[in-house]
Amino acid sequence: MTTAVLDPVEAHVAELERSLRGPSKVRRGIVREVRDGLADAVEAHRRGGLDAGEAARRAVRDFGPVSAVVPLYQDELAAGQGRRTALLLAVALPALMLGWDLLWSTGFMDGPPAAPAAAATVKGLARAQDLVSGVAAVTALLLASLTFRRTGSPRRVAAAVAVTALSAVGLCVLSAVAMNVVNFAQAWERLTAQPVGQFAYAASAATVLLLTRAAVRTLRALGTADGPDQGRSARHS
Amino acid sequence: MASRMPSPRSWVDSLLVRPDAVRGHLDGLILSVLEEGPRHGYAIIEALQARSGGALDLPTGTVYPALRRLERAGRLSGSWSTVGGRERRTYTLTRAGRHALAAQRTDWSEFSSVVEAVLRPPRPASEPS
Repeated sequence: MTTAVLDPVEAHVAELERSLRGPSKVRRGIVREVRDGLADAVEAHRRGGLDAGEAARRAVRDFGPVSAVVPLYQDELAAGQGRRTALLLAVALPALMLGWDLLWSTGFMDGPPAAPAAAATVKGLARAQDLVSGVAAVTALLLASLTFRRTGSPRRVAAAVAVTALSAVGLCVLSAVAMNVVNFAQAWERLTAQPVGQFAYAASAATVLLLTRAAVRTLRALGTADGPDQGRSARHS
Repeated sequence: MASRMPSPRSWVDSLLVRPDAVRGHLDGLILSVLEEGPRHGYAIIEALQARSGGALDLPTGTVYPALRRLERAGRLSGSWSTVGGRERRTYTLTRAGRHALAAQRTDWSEFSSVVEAVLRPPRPASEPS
C-alpha cells in the first residue's frame, strides 16, 4: 500500500484530461499529444543522465502547471466546435426553409382550403421564418470566418455562435408551431395522411435537434476554467 | 549525476529570457522552426531550445496549444503519422504559414532596428568602466 507512487507524468495528463471540456474526439487527440510529448521529454532527460523518477519530475516541471494550459486549449476546443456549429447553422436552416418553400410552391402540400385570415397569418409567419434563417445564416458565416483568426477571443465568438443558433432555432420553432395551430385542419391532414408532409415534419424535427445539440456542445466547449460554474460540470466523463 | 535535486539551470534561463517576453513571439518562432520540414510537438520544443542555445525557457506546455491555434488559423496543418515506430501528431507549415513567417520576419527586423537605434548609447565607448 505504501508503494503506490503515482507517476507524475500520468498524474499531470490525468489532471489535464479531467479539466478539458468539449468534443471528446478532439479532447482525446489533445491528451494523446501531450502524453506523447511528455514521454519524449522524459526520454530526453533520461538520455541526459537523469534517473526515471527525476526525468519524469523534470518533464512535468518543464511543462508547467495544467491550470496554465487548460484555458489555452479551451480556446481551441470552443473555436473548433463553434466553427462546426456555425457552418451547420449556415447550411441546415436555409436548406430547411428552402425545402418547405419548395413543397408549398409545387402544390405537394395542398389540403383542405384554409380560411383567408389563417392563410395570411401563415404566409406572414413563413416570411418571418425565411428572414430569421437568412439573418442567422449570414451571421453564422461571419462568426465562422472569425474562428480562423489567430488573435481575438475564440470563446466569445463560440458563445455568439451558440446564442445565434439557439435563438434562430427557437424563433423558427415558435413560428412553426404558430403556423400549425392557426391552420390546424391542414396541418393535421398533412401529418396524418400525406407521406410528403410527414417526411417534411420529420426532417424539420431532425434539423432542430441537430442544431440544438450542436449549440449545446458549443456552450459546453466554452469550458469552466475561468467561469463561475466550476462545481456543476465537475463530473461528467 | 542523478541526485541533482532542483536544478538551478532553469532559474538562470528564466533570467536570460523571461517566458512572458517570449510569448508574443512564440507563433513566429514555431513557424520558423517548421520551415525546415514537418516536426512533432517535442521535436519543435527541442528545436526552439537548440536554436536559442538553451536560453529560451518557456513552459513546454504552452507550445502544444499554440500549435493547435496555428493549425486553426490555417498556418500549420497537423496530422497523425508514424514517426520512429510511434504514432505522433506532426505539423507542417502551410502556404499561409510561410507568408505569415515572412511578414513576421520583416516586422521584427524593422521593429528591432528601430528599438536598437533608440537604445544605442549616444557616445559609444567613451564611458570609463
